[in-house]
Amino acid sequence: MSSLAGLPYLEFELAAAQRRVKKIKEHPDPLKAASNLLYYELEVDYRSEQIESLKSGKPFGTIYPGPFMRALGLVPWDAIRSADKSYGDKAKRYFDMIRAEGMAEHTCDRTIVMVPMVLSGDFPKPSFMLAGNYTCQPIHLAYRLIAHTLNTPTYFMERKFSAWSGSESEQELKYVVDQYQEMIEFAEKNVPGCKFNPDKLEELLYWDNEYNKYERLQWKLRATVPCPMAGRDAFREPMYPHFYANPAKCVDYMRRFTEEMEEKASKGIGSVQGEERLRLLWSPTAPYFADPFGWLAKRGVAVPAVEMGTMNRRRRGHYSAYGELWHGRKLSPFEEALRGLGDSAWGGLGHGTVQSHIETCRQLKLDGIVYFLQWGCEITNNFGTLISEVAEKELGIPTLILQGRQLDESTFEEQEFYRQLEEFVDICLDAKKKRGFRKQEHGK
Amino acid sequence: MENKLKELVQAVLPESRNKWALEWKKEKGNVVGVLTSHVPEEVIYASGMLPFGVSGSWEASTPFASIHRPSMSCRYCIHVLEAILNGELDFLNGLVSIPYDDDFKTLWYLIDYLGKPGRPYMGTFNHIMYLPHVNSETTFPMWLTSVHELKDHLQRAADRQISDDSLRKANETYNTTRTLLKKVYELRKREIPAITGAEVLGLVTASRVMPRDLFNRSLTELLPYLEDRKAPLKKAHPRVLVSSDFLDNPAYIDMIENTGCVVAMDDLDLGSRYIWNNIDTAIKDPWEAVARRYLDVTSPFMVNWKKYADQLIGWVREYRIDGVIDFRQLYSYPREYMSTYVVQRLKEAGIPYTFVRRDYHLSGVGMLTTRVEAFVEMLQGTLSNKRTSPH
Ligand code: SF4
Repeated sequence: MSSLAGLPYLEFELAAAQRRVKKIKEHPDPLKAASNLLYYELEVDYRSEQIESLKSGKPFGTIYPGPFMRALGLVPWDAIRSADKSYGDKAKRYFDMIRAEGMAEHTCDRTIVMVPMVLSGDFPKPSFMLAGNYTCQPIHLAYRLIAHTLNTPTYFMERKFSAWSGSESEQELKYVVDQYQEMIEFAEKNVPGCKFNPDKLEELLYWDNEYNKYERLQWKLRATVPCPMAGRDAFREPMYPHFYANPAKCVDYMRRFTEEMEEKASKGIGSVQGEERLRLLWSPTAPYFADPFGWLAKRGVAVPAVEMGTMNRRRRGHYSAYGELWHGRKLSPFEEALRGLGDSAWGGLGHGTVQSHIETCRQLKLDGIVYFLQWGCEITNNFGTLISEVAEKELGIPTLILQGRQLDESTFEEQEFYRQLEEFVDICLDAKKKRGFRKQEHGK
Repeated sequence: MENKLKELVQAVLPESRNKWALEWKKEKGNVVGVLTSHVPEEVIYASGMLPFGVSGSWEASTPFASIHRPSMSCRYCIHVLEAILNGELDFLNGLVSIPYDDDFKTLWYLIDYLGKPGRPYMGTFNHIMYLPHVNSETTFPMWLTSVHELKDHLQRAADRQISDDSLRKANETYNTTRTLLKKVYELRKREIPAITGAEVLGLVTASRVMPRDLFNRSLTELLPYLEDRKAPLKKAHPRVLVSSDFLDNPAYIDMIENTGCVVAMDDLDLGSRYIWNNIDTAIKDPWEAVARRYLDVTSPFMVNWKKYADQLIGWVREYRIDGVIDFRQLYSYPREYMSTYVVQRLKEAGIPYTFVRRDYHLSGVGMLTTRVEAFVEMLQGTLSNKRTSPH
């Protein structure tokens, strides 16, 4: 594989982001968030850095958990995000390869599409793989497969997942910290260009924390009725400051985006067409080639949050903020960055995932849950019925369970998909009305 | 002796598999279900409880489990949940598993949720052990902690202490099983193996549902007979290796052998991988000894797939295998991902290979037979070419 493998992909993405920036500058759309300009400028910066790095031979490393990878001098290797963009004809090509090669064709789309994408040289190859049991399994399996096939230096991080209760022990934190130290030594020894910079880690933690402050503010704003955040924005996977060479700019984007939400909230402007009739939680993923959020917005249905991985816990302030005491003591930057890894619901045992859905619905005053079963996403699939049972029992709200795929359109039945959504909206409206009556009666 | 062999080989069948556990319950006490071959059963055995290798329901329909889990998730887990919910496993006093994949984690959570007090179908405990994917000096202490946590759970459930000596004894008993079964594996190397692949799977699975001492005695008695036996096979060539996980139904291996080959070696978690490494009894602390054995295993779960492929290729050479059948269980992802790498290695080593996806319970036999037949015919063709080739 050429050392410049994947360059055309990066250049394509760069050109797309540049076109967006140009379009927004030339024809600003008053209905869209002004901060969008910064968002796409960040994308331009991001892809430009990747292109320069590829050309100059700088090492690429996986994106979770990011601050460490940057502090090691690695440029984000985001094949998983790029796979998300491979729907339509691109996805078809990859699925043909997956089937022809006898690869895992029934697993989570984004994780398996990433494999032929990288192995065929469509996307740059990684210089260093950090995989671990803190992610869902398909992600670390795909990483491990790529690493084994390409002979990429790899470190596998372990966390003791029993810490689901929200109280990681000292022993568990030390376990993770020890491994990170080992990982750094390993990367410095085996990956040319890797050198850990502790000051950089501190700087990135600072910016990540600043970003998180806005996430928390936004969380409160998402609770306002009508919701000032569009479903499409709620579905967007966040790009944290450590993704960028200039992390301050990312925080600046977040600040501006939050201010716009604040302004909308103060004026009572929502994100749906007309009156906000309903508020739903979407979980955990959706068909990327369709636009259910736009479809719902047209019907007055807001989606203030999408329950994905462990992000909403972070937004809710589940993890103590940077610098706060932990178990009665101050943590080192190293520990700061790793605290919470053991408690992450993503790839965990289930308690965190179920609780998080219920908390989100409670805090954001949601009327129902759309639970999309992506093939092979076992960490969420097997909880559909359970979450629906708990949501009904604890909050009296219904759940719609849909089955489908993120990228593979061949199994998508559009009419049926929207028919089910339509029916569900009616059920939720009805349930909302009944809850209203009950409340009135209680009031009396 | 043939009847004795038959009895052991059929121990895992639904009509017989609970027999010993029920007797144990009547006479001795608790029975603890074990999911996956990664659980150190020795610790359970040392507690005076009977470790019982859990098979899922072998019925095609899973009406209770399907309420909770979509059909496109690990088929073994679905059938285990079905067996729990339909009462097949009511006699268990507890369950122990490891997070083999996300399916096992969610299975554990679901059982935990459904087993809340007041629900009828739950034993006294449902424990999931933390097992690292990496075998290193950094991860080992945490795994050892996990083994001690299992000890604590069992001590509470059994209301008795587990002494070092009782664990030492259990380690030795389990080593005996492994040593005896390895002798059986030796007999597979013969031109005409002493035992079919299906029979071997029957024997290994029998060891997981019977009290260990009893199994060891039975197999000790049987071994001299096996030494002189020729397996009742349709054909002794080609020699095939079957690779899979959660395959506990010998009828699947029968189906393969009925196409006109012999499964002369396996790479199964309930076969060779279950018995391959003994516990190092020279290690003074029996807890450390058992923990080391269970961290040093080859499995799609473990990170080191190179070691896995090396072992597989080693077996192909050692057992003079003509081709490998990757007999994947549907929706079991560790193998699904790993296979792409293993295939690359097999190709490099010039080893013929095919893959077939199967369900957990026996189904789709016609279609599977056709696929396997095609592969076996291809191998037969290669073999006869080799025989006629001047080289
Ligand atoms: S959480 Fe689910 S959808 Fe997301 S990457 Fe993992 S398997 Fe795929």
